[in-house]
Amino acid sequence: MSLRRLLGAFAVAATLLVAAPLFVATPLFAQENPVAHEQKEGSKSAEGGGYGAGPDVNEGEAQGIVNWWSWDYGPNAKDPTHKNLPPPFGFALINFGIFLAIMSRLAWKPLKQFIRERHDSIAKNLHEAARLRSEAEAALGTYQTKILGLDAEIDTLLVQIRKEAETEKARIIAAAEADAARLRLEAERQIAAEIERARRELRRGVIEAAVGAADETLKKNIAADDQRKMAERYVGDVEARAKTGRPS
Amino acid sequence: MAVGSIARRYAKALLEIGVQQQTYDALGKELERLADTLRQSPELRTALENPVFPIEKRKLILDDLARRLALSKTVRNFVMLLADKGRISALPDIARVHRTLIDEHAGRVRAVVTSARPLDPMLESRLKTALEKQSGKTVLLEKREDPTIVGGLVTQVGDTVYDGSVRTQLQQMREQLLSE
Repeated sequence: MSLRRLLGAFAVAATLLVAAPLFVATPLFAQENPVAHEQKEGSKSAEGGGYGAGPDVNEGEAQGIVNWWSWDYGPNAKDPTHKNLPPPFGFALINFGIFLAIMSRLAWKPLKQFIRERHDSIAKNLHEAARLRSEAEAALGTYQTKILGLDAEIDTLLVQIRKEAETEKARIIAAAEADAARLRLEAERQIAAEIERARRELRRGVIEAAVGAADETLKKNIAADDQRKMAERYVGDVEARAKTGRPS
Repeated sequence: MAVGSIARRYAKALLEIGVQQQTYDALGKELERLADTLRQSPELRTALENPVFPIEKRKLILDDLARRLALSKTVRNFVMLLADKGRISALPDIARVHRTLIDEHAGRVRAVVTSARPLDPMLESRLKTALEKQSGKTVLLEKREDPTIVGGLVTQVGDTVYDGSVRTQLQQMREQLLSE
């Protein structure tokens, strides 16, 4: 619904609200209203004149509508008796009727459309609410069914979880055993390597010590005769090479 | 240019002069005497090699040294040429190469025999004979003593070494045992 139509509808409603007392007020004033009557009496005695405050007004109120069509009213009225008359009510009614006709022509359709759309919207919302309620009830039924079967489902899950745990346990044990075997093998290999290295170091140390000891022993114990024998053997080798012509 | 190459060129030139004059042995000995003197006196070597001193002064020092060492005119002229060319620092190398060239020219070879204790003269003679027979040249044998070889002999002829020392045999035994 457009804003313009909404405003038109609002204007019609406001007009009706404003005009309604015109239809209702006069007969009401014409009827007995002790409180209002007393108030008007009080104001008349205090102010002593004005619209609707003179004897004619009280008289008019008692008689109903006193000026239907006369434009000779108010302080400038030609007729002195019409000075306290209100504006002509008949023209006001005609004016209001014209206004109402124009407004109904302009605002009736938008107002009707607005009401129809509002009706449709509310109906749609109600329908949607009913559908949601139905779905919620269905879901509630499903959950209630599930809750009823929950123990069995828990038992099934427990069995499944235990089975998976056993499988995982077996897998972990197998992996740990494989790791342990690998570590054992690696440790054995490292131990063997260390033993071999130590054996070589020991062997090297023994050889170094033995050669050093042999060197020292020979230095101490080689006699002049031994030196001469070694020199003779050496010279003999050189002579043999010289005879055979073998290159060095 | 490499020092060895320079030394060889100068040594060869001096040898040719000595061969022409039939005095190469004497020239070689003079050159070695001069080289020994330079080797034994670092101050003298510094004075002769330092370019801060004028060349004339250095040549005067060399001339005085040549007179004191009673060097021949050929060797004196040779060292003056070295001074002019700025090659005095190469003199020890030139002397060494010159000696080798003289030996080659004369059909000689130098050998160094090392023993832990003094070598018996008879064995020395036998060794010299054997080396001469093997090399086909006259062997000039130089004897050295080195107790660290423990026993046996080590002979070096040119670049060839005949190692019969106990020290080397112990080393070979050690290497063999370690490689097993």
